[in-house]
Amino acid sequence: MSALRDLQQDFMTAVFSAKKAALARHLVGTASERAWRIDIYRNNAVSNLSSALESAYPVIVKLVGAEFFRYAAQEYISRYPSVSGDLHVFGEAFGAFLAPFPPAAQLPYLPDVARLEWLCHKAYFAADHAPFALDRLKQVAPEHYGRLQFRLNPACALFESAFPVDRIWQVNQDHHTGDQALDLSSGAATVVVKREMYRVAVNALPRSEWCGLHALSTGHTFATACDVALQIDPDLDPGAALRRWVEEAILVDFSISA
Amino acid sequence: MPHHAEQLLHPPLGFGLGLRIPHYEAILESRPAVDWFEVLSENYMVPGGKPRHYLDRIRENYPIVMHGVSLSIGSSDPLNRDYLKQLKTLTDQIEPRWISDHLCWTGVDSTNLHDLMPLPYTEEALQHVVDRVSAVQDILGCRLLLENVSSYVTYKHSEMSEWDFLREVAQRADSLLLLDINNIYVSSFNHGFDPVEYIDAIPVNRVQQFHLAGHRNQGGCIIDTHDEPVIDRVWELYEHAVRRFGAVSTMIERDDNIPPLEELLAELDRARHIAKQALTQIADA
Repeated sequence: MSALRDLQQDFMTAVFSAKKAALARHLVGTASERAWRIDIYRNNAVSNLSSALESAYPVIVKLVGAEFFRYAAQEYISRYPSVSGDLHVFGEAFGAFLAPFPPAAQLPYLPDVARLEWLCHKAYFAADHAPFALDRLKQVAPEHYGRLQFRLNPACALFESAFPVDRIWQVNQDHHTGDQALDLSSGAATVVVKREMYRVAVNALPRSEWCGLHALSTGHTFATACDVALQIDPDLDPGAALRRWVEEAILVDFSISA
Repeated sequence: MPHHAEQLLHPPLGFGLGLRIPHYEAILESRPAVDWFEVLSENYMVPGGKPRHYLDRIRENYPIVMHGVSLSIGSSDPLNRDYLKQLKTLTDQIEPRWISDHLCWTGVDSTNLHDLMPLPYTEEALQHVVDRVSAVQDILGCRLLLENVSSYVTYKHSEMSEWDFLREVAQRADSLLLLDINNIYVSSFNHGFDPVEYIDAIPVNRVQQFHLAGHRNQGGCIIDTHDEPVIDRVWELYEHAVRRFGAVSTMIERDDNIPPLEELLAELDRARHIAKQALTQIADA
């Protein structure tokens, strides 16, 4: 092993596992001086990674408070090291981490709120895609309607939860001024994450529409999506729903399957 | 082969600022008297959204330079080819005047610290870095600017000073330098060396850009936080640097506790004023 590699590995150990002895032998200064100098790097690394988590999970910070969040972040950082130089992708597993995290057991909705926030975080940086004009659909011959396939906006995501995560998310936004009431027993939510004018929004959809969109987003044809949606709500007007999805730029392109 | 200064350096851009998200709207609306902006490369290595939207509009009116934090040129891991590919793609899209990163390492064994870690100043590390800078410059098709980082530890087995190491890297790899005057001051305080000796050891024909920033003095140690105005001692060192290096592109770098744009413009005016005075005095001498 090269001396450089040896040193760098000792540094990583000192930063992430608090075992400073191996690094300290490479450093000048008294024992106490070397210890506090190493701590500067420990604090920097933990604080940079915690800040990245905080900016991706602002609702979780509000729900659990800054102190609890810092503790959870430290645990997460020690278990899920950052494997990419790109700090935007750090924190993806935070929802999965919170699910079995004993200190968070009293807040069973927390993992799903975190998963929703990650989708919002990704939507913020997702590729731009122009909406398409409804007129383009009018040029499709009616016999092809059933074989239409649609493309979900890259800056949209669909999410479902057993908890009212859309309301939890909305009332915890900084700019939220409306009703603060939140009924945690109000049940499941089916939501769409959207980016509107570079601001991310979370909106509830009727379950029928959500399941239809979900079918489309996973590559199924419009015929299949209609079947799925109408099974849940026989009164749904699929044509009107499709128009809304296109107008709201949830769907941004289409093709006709072979 | 020896180079002349005019062959090595890009034309200077004047006085710039680091482009930060809270200032996007103000820049587009008020078109401030900033000569150029520096962007953090990694913030724009994303598929789309707000940062890319604003950068595309701002670069219509201002020259852009790119500044990275994740190249990890000193890591003993293999070069990160995916990162370099992304950097090259972004470079092709943004068309920056130049590209910089830090003379440091940021992780090993595929784990990232997201911090700028100091290298030991050894012949082994020097050769390692020189080889990698050459490889990166071949991929990017241009000379890279390397920036000196602030540090809090000194390695026992270092064989040369930081400034000798920096100079040797630049000369052997034929790269350029981004001198962070604040970082020189921070490290000189933390390790007890003379910042003027540092500046005077750096070759004039390699310095393309200056950074100026603030920091936190915690008594026994200075932490390089970039969240405060530039201090007087750093302004003095800046003046000394201008006397040595001439009209080098200068910018204020604020990464945290970001004030309204006007405050940074005022700080930038101070840099303009100091540089102008120093250059006038040289011309008159």
